[in-house]
Order: sequence, then structure tokens, then C-alpha cells
Amino acid sequence: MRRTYAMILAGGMGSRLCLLSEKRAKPAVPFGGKYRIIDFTLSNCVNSEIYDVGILTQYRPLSLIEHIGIGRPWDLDRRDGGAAILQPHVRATSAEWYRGTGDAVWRNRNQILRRGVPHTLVLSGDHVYKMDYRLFLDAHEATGADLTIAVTAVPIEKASQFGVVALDADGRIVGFEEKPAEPKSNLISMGVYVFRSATLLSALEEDALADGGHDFGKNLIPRLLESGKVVAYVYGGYWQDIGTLDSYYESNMALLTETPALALRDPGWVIHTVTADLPPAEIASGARVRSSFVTNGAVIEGTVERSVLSPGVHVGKGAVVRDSIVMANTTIGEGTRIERTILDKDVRIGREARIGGAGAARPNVACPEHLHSGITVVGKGAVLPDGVVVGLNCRIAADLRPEDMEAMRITDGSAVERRGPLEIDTL
Amino acid sequence: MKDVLALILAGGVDKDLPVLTDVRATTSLPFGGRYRVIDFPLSNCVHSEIFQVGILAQYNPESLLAHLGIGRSWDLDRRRGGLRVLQPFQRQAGTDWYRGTADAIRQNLEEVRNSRASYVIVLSGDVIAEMDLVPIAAAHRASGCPVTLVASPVGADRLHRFGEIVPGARGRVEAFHEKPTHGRAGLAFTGAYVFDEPFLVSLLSAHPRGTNLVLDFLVPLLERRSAPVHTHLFEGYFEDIGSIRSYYDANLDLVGLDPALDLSDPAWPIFTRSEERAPAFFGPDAVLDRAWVPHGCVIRGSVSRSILFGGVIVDEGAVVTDSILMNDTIVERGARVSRAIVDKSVRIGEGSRIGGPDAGEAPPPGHAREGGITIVGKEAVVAPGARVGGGAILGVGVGPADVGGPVPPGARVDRRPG
Repeated sequence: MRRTYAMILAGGMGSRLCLLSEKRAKPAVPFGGKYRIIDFTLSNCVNSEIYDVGILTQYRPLSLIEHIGIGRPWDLDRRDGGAAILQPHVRATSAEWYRGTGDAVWRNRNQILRRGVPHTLVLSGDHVYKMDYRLFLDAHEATGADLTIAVTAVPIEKASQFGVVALDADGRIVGFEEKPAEPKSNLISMGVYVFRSATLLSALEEDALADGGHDFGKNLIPRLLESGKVVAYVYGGYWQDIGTLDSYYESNMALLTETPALALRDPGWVIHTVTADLPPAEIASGARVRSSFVTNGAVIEGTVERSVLSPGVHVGKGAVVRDSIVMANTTIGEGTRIERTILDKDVRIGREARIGGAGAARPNVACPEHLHSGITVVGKGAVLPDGVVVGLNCRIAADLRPEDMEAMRITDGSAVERRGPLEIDTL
Repeated sequence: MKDVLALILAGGVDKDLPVLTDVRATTSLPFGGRYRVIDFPLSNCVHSEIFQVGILAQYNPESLLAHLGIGRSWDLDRRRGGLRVLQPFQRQAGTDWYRGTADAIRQNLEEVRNSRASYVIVLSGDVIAEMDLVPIAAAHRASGCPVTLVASPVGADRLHRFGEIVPGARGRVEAFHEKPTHGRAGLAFTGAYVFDEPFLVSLLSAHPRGTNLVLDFLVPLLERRSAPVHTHLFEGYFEDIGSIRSYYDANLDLVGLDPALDLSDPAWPIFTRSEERAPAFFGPDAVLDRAWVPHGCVIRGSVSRSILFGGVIVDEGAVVTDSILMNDTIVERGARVSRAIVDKSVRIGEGSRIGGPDAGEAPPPGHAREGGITIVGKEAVVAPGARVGGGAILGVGVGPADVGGPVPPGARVDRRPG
């Protein structure tokens, strides 16, 4: 008998990713040149022989739905099981959005009931990691726990961004604090759970009837700690929560070494994704490409250093791209310099422009808490004219047109918005 | 085009592609950094909305079959029609291998009948072209002729390699000359035919001894004028992969200064099976100049005017010029490879020299392989410091023990039995 069903939480807004998640759910944000963040969790499922996956969506799911399609790249186009998108829907007696992660699973409890699987995996769609869930399930079954939580060690100064756990000598979780101001340990929850299905269903029911929030980390798990057996599974492999723009940028840049912590060349654990039907990257005469990740369909005529390029990117003659992330089909004009910048998809940058730079500068006026380490972000589909100069910590709105710009020199920390609404809210 | 069945001829043995076709059919030769030759006719079919495709395979089909799978990469995994690989099979009487192109189709006439197609398009599995079959089929229907040949204008330097179509009045074919020697430019036959289905069936059934579709059927048909033959001009890029030279040139032309074939046309993508590899990684000292580098490559050395395939590794100080390196081949530190075709999973040892003028040897005059292209067979291992001259051949699986010392230009070394 099949022992599990996986539910991937993919509905959150991911507002700390700033512009990157303005038009798409966080799991659909491109990563590592050719992947999207959800590819890691989906590939972990199928590499762990789990072919029955529900994806809980709510916020801007279209880009994610297009990416997943019928689940082909993951062999999830199946008669029995496969990939199903679980978007909130209207019922005869109610019409409500998901009120939290717990509520999202509660509202889809029929998926669990119908399958009658003994265990249910609850996963997050916005983490980058490679994990064999079979071993995780084995450990869960061996201890007979109601809930097993995958935990990992992080530097103590980062622990306050996560759910911090306290263990007893037997590996039971005796304390769980979501984003504590003063973390008591550096062991944090990865947001990767396996429940006994019966326990999950009763805990969800209790959660649904309770006042307040309906979130796994904040509400459901602290309650379950009181009543059930909750055990930790200590995971030692690579795991990265793509929570902030800085962690997004750093974890992409960390790929640009000979032996990155996240090994993507491992034939034993392939990360599956949708393949673009494009020829190999073309490196033209006079081009330089160093310490970089380059994907099919890229055409490089200029210089690319320490950067991650997605399919279909064009770097013009004499252009220089350094320490940057450039997403699909973006073009960079001749003589333009891009430094420490994230260019979203379909961006057009004219000739002889300068975007971003090295060093520190004043934080972004519109989102100082997420855009302060010097990185500049240009939103999807923006068109920047020849000769424009954009400083550090800048935010250039998606779909910006040259006529929206009031000046050709955008100072550090600026946020440039569109003037007037778009006719169609493009995806 | 629901009333069209496409048959792709993918079974031939090519003696002019030594070593490379020892392990595969010509149609499954890797091309353009991530494709195989068969991807072109297959993509042409699906772009032309032909979803009934038969592939006539016979010779070394394993790699072809692995590539095709159930036809998913081309959306040919279909409930009706879809992709079918037609290999020779045993019968109660008259069992034989496919004895030629016509015989291959004849042995599958039942398949042709069952398709209920009104037209049969026959394509060569060895041709690189981005060919829209819709206008070709439309012209065929309008012509009133039972058969159409697709022609491509080629220069005097190439026509001698093909069958020449001599056009007559009103789009008819006047005459056909196989491999003409007159030395002029003209119209080459692209290997693409359109037949009325009943005509094809009766043509092949009427002459059970005929085996070759061109020589035994087309040429006599034109000589006897027993049926009118239409010709349709195809103006796009066209190349037949029939020799080492044409294979090498068609690939290297992609990194030339003015490539004639555009593989990034969004209106005509060439579909292929994805190898699911990570993006290419370029090390801190990588040097590139006109190179095609697909996913899975790791470039630490220098690559110029070359086509690489998935998983190729070029180590520090290695120099690759004017070459084709197939999947998972490794060029170790300080090795030099020039004017070479290196098949899959080859290991080129540290500091070795393979082929070309860079190795200090000029191709011998009048050498059989024009241009002194060196070939290294699949899974060969070249020892560190080894020397392999221009135009030399190392057979499939050759190891250091098979190679005594330096391999002179134009020499051939094969794996010793046992």
C-alpha cells in the first residue's frame, strides 16, 4: 500500500522577495538559471518515489500553474496520483480564501481522507534543498510519532527568522517557538513535516475550530506538542529557505564555485524542470564568460563574470554583467554595465546604460527592510532606455516604460514606479 | 494534416561515416550541441501538424529507440496515430531484412493502409532542414501529379553529392540524374517525397523486385513517363549528413561567421529529448570564442569555433579548436584537440595532442577524409601525452594498449579483439 501523500504549501505571498514575487508566487521564482524554486520540492518527491502530490496555491498561481502543467517534467502526469493544483474554491455554503497554511490543508482534508494513506507529508514550496523523504518517512515510522519535523542547524544569529525547536535526550521536541526574538537553540524547523494522517486530521479540525490564526508553525504544531508525540529528524544536508532577497541572491551566487554546497550535477538526484526548446548557449567572438552559470539559448557577445544567466538571455557586444542574476529572455544592450543586480524576465536594457554597482548605499525608500545590501532589482518586462544610470538598492517597477522615467539618473535607494495603471496586469 | 502519414527513412548503413555510425544509425548522430539528426524531420512533421509518423529503422537502432521513447519530446505520444518505429519482422513466408528504402516501405504497406491517409510524405532521416510540409502538401494536391519531389537549389560544389532534379514545364520533373558529374549548379533532391497513397501502394506492389526508391522506381518512372512527377522548390537551409565532411561542416557552420541554419527561430523550434543537466559552468579561467555550450558542460580551459554536447568537461589549460565534442567527453589538463570529431564518453589524457595543424602535422595530400578531420570513437581513452595526427581515426573503445606510439596522420587504430 502507498504510505504517503505529499501536500506542498505554495500559496504564500513571499513579500520579502520584493519585486520578484510581485507577479508570481514565491515557489515560481526562477533559481539557478534554469530552475524554479518549487522544482526542488517536486523533484525531491519523485526522486523519493512519491508520485502523488497536491500543490496548495492561492497567491498569483498562474505562473506556477503554467510551469507545472500536467506534471510532465517530474513524471507526475499519471493516471493514479500525479500533480494536482489545489486552489481555494467557492462552495455552496462558504466562499473564503485560505486563512493560513493549516486552513489550506484543512479545506483539502478530503484529499487525505479519500486516499486513506497512513502518513501525510506537508512540505513547503519555497525551499531549496535535496532530501530523500523515504529516509524521513522511515524514521517517522520507526518512532511511531504523531508528527516528525525535519530540523537543521543554522548559525544562531539567523535562528530568529525560523521556528526554533528544543529537543529532549530522546529526540522528542519539547519546545517550539516561531521566530523568537531570543532563540534558545540553533536547531530550526525546516517546514518539512510528516504526520500520522489520523493525527493530522484531528489536529486540523481542532485548529479550524479554534480562534486566532490557522498556521502550522504558529498554531497547529504548538498545540500538538501538548497532546501528541512530536519527534525531530535532524537533517544535515543542504537546505536553504529563500525567505529574503539577500538569501535569494546569496544562494544563487553560492552556485558559482567548482564544488557548490548545492550540487546540481548529481546524476543520482536530478532536479527536474521544464526545458526550453532552445539551442545551446552561444559564446560569440570576443566574449568572456567566467565563474558563471549559463543556460541554453543564451547569446553572449560581451563579458559575463560571477553571474547566473537564464535561457534566452542576450548580452550585447561590449556589455559587462558582473555578480548578477539575469532571468529568461532579458536583453542587455551594447556597452551596458550591470553589477550586483537582479534582472527579472523579459527586461530590455538599452545601450551604454549602467545598472547597480559595488559597495554600500542608503536603503531603498520603498522597501528599506529588504533592499539594503546594495542589490538593485529590475522588475519583469521593464524597458530601460539607452544611457540610463541606476544606482544601488534601487527598485525598478515591472513593466516600466522609458516614458515613465522622470530622470536618466536614478540615485541610490530609489524606487521607480510606473506612471498610471497598465491596461492588462501582465503575468 | 490529418490525411497525411509521414514515413522517415532511418535505417541505412553509411560507410562514409566511419566509427561514428559503428555504434548508431546516421539519423541518431548528435547534432548542434543538443539535438540528433532525427529531431529535424520529427520537428518538421509536428510543426506541420502531421501526428502520424512511422520511422523505418533497421541498422543499430538502440540509441535511436532510447532517444525516441514513446515520442513525448515531439508530442507524438498520442492515442491515435503518434510515433511508430517500424523495424523488420518475421513472417510465415518471405521474411527478410529491409533490402532498401522501397523495400522498407513495401514491407509496411499494411501500416500505410491502416493509417487511412490520403497522402504519404517520405522523408530522409539524415537531412538537416527546417521544412514546412504544409505548403509542400498543398502544392502536391494542386499539381494533379501522384508524386512530388522536394528540390533545393545548390551550388556546383555540392550538386554532385545528390540526385539532380531537372525541372520541366508547369512544375514537372523532366529528368533525374543520380550524382551528376557535369560540375554545374542545379536542383538537388532533398529526399522528401509526397505520394498519393494509392499510387504509392500500387507502385511498390507492382515491382516486388525493386528495392531502392530512387533507382528502382523514381528513375524508371521518369524515363518511361508513366506518371507525371511534380517538383516543389524548398529555399531554406538543407544538408544531407552523408559523410564525415558534411557532418563536420554542418555542425561547424553553426559557429561560423554567417550561419545559414537558425536554430533559435521561435516559430520553428527543434524539439529533442532533454538530458536534464544543470546549467553550463564556466570556471574563472575559461576562454571562449565562437562556441556552443549546452547544459551540463564544465569549461575551465579554452574552446573556440567548436560545438560541445551535454556534459563535456574541458579542464584547465586544455585547448579545443574547430572540433565537435560529444556528450560526457573529458579533455584533461593541457590537452589540445583540433579539427576533430570526438564521440561520446571519450577521455583525452593530460597533455595529449589530437589532430589538426595545432598538432604540427598537415593532413596528407589526397587523403580520403578531405580536410584531415580526426575521429575518436565512442568511449576511447587517449593516454596522457599521446599524439594523434590529423585525419587519423581511433576506433570505438580504443584504449592506450591499442595505440603503440604516436598515431601518424591519416592512420587508423582499432581496438584489439579480446
